[in-house]
Amino acid sequence: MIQRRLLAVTALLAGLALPAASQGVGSRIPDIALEGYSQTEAKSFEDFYGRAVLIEFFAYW
Amino acid sequence: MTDESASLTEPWIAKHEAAYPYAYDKGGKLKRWFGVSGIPHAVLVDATGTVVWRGHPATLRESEIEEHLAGTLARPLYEWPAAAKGVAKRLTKGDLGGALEDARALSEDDGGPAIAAQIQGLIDGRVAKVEGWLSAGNFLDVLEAGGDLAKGLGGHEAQAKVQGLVAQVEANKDAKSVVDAQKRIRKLRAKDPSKRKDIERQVEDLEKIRDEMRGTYAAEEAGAYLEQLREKLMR
Repeated sequence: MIQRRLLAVTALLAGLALPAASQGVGSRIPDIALEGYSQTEAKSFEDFYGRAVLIEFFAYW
Repeated sequence: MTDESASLTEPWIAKHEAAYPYAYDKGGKLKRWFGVSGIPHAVLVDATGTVVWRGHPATLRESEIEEHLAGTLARPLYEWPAAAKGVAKRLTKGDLGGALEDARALSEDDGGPAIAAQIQGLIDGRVAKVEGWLSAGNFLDVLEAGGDLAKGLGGHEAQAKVQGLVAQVEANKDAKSVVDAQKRIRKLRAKDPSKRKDIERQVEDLEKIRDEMRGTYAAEEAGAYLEQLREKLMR
């Protein structure tokens, strides 16, 4: 159920420090323009319309 | 991320057999909007496009995810049958009323009834969200997102309800100053300052807004963005 309805989109980036929790909870997300979607048929964030999305920020290292 | 990083990233993905969809946040714009200062960091966004959780991915509980799955589409739009592409297009344009009508006209073989039920779920979720914003005093989102929702609900019985919620804010004299303050905060945030001097100026502006608007949702919003900026200054 969770796997079917939740699509994890992972945004790759670099940067390090301590995470800030709970900030922004309740806010609406801005227009999201990510590039190079892979391992999905989605081509833009709009393709996830109506789905719960888990965005994980990570770097390759 | 640069092209060079992509060339390093792809082998990593292959090596770790990471099967999930991924994309590049070029220039780190999204990361800055969220004020992500450490990785890994995860943000859970519900079907209405609202941030419902954020933190270290390892601390995200399954129950937290399940809570936000109600009223979501069972299948993503890109997996919908060809006959339903027009419905999908209407949805992404915000025309929920039209999408629902079109879905109801689709045959069972094309998934019509199931798609219609899911769109109804999306509508219910969005209406509940606007009600939540109103009771939290988040008047700007009621006016903007609520207003858009009302427009998109043409022909649907929920339209009058959402229009009523928007009208409550419009008729509320105290809401105007909150809305103005929220607009100022979001304008500051959209500027995405990187120079220390500019960040410090924004901190001053936000402190002023927070103090002036104490006890309102605008003060909370200013406080949350202030926290992000202060962290930025400490880096």
